[in-house]
Amino acid sequence: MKKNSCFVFVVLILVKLAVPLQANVKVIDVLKRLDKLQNLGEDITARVDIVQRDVDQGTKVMECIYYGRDISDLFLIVMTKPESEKGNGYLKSGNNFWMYRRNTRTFQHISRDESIAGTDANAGDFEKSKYAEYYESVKDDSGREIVIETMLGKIPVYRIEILAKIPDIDYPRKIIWVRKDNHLPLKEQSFSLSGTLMYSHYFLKYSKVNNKYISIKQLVIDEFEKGNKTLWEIKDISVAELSNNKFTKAYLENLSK
Amino acid sequence: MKLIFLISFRNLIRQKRRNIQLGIAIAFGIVILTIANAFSKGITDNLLNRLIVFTSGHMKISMIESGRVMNPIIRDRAYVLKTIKSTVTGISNIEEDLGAFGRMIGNGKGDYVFLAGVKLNDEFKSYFRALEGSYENYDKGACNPVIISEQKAKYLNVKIGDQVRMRFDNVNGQKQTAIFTVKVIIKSQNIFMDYAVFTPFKNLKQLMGYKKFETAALKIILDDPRTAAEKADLLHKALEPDKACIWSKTDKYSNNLLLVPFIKGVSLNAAGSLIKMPADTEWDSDTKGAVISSVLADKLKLGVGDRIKFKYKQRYFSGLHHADVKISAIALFNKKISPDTVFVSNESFFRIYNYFLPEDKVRLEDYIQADHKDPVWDMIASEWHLLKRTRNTDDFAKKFKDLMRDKKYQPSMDIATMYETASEIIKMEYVFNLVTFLAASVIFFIIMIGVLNSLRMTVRERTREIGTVRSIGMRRSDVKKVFMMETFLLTVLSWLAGLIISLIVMKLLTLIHFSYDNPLNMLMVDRRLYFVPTLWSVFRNLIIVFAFSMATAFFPSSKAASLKPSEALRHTT
Repeated sequence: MKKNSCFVFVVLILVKLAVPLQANVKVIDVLKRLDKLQNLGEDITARVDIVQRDVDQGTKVMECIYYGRDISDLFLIVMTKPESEKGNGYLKSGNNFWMYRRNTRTFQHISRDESIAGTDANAGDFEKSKYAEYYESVKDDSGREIVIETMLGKIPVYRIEILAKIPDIDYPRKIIWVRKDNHLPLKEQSFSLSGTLMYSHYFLKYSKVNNKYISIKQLVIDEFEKGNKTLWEIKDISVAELSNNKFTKAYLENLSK
Repeated sequence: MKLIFLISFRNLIRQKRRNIQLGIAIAFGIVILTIANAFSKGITDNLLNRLIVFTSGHMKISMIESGRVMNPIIRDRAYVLKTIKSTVTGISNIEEDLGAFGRMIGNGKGDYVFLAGVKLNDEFKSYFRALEGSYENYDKGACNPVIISEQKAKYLNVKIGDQVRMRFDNVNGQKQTAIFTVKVIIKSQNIFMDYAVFTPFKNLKQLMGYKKFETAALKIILDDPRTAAEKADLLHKALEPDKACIWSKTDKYSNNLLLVPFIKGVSLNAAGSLIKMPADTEWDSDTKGAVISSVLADKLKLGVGDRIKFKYKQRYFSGLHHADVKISAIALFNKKISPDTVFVSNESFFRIYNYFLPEDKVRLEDYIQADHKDPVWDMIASEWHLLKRTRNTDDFAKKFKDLMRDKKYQPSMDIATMYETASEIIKMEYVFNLVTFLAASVIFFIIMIGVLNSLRMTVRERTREIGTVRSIGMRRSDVKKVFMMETFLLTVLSWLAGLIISLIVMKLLTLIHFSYDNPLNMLMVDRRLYFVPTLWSVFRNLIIVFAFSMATAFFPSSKAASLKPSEALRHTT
């Protein structure tokens, strides 16, 4: 009997050790920190290299210049490579998204779900980070937030599971792995409404600019259509102030001439 | 008359060679005209009664929220249906139009498809003939059965019983995925229809996130499609909305509150002296939340930044709905406005109202006693924004472009007809009819010159004969009748021959199967040319050819009849 009790005790200890630790951080604080870290609070100019691997279409290499001002939630993207996309662009001003086509010299109003140059990224991905506004923590049966202390490779992280607070958010459920030490996101999984894993987003490399972290290398894996993936690399970052006319249709049109 | 008929018939046979040649020419014209008419009618039938009915209906009612034109939603389907039934006459059918664009993944291959929700009926089954699998119990056993065209099945590398996955956006713009089982493979109709994949309506409605009292859009199929515009105008008037409001209760206060929405982008200065904002408070189109009266703020002990809580009876859910809205301003209301009125920004109001429609409707005049000409009434948004009727595709496209740009939370209702949603298809039919008419006219003109020449020659050749019959007592009018009857017989016999030949040619043409994809496949049925010869068009062609030939024969016949017998007998060829 005593032997059996010891066995049960050992098993319980092992089970306890196998389950990741429930962390003592609040999800809302992590989300606010995520927003704060990702929103620069100043203007940014950068070159973005995109390598897209598509099962059907093969590998596509693209390059664009990104101008952003997250305080006002403005951005302008102009494609520089490949030749077929050169001069095309995307502009966000206020609540409006436009796509510019150089060949026809026309602006077309698009939704935030519209793909950027046929990549996995959509116009909404370039908006100001609003995790805290749109998401809240998933809670367990006892009403506790699900924040788990675990390891991602060799890095100690918090694994948080979040649900959209409002019904019109594209991915209603996400799981994010953030570093314990500075709350930088390392991995993010986006799920569809039915719970299917759609994308895994890896933040591979960060760079510190003016005391702010910018993820300069990201890998997006399409989990729904296996084999598709996109690698994003952000280069030549500048945080010099940009003039207001940068975020106008006229500027994008001129840039594309 | 019998004698005239016999003489005419004998004359027709006597000059066999010439008349056969002339008859062939007329028959050829009839063949061209009959085939062109039947093809044109086939296109009309295919487009109006099949393609347009399946795609947009003769009339379509949709409601758009937040500029999401791809995901329309009618929140109160019963009300719209009731209004349609009481306003529009000559309805053949009303169908809920539900579909989603997305990417479907088969066995190692993916493609974009349009997933349409269908309620199977005999018309569907006869139009989309099952090649593999069966419509019998197709929706039993599998969780999400799909009907897929043979071309699409081939591309996705799937067979009956295989599973396909699909990702698409639901009604709220959320990413949704589902697994479907291929239950029926149908005959490919045309390149356009090959993009459609069908699944039971109720399954798709659930996957798309529509509640049972909601629908995406309503398609109306009319008995007479040509009356669509006129009926849409009538319906447009009948669907004029009232001002929106939520009549609610709040805790610790005995009076009911009336929440009303501002229109988007309103300036509170427009309210003049009726609503006086504190000097340091700004309110612009981006401001969210509510403006309450200072009296209400005192009674409820609430200030700017607090949330005002309220509850109200819902139209389609049992129990009260509890909601709250942030107070963004406290203002002085004129006596004409009840202090229990709460003015809410467009976005904040419709974010609650759209999802939980209130049951009670109250007279706004009980709360707002200002004259109806007062600008405050213009500041209050209605239940939906009824979009102006448009008459063509360009205006329709512009209307939707503006809607996408505006992104109003307040629903926008649109009533469109096939003349806007499918005007290019209708234009194509008009153009084809016009080209057919012009081509047939040219052919007949050439043929009739032949008839004219032939008759002139006949009159010339038979001048002495005319003189003989006139000498033995035949009247002038009878001479004329003989020639006219001869032409009539030639026309009728040629028409009959032309009709038979055209029916045979049409039958042969329908046997040709166009297996390769091209845009003209859209005009075909089952990838074969589609002809619809009608009785009316057949007789219309007879009337046309008869009118042409009689008009052409009249002058040579009159000339023959007017010949004097003595001169005619002296005539030498």
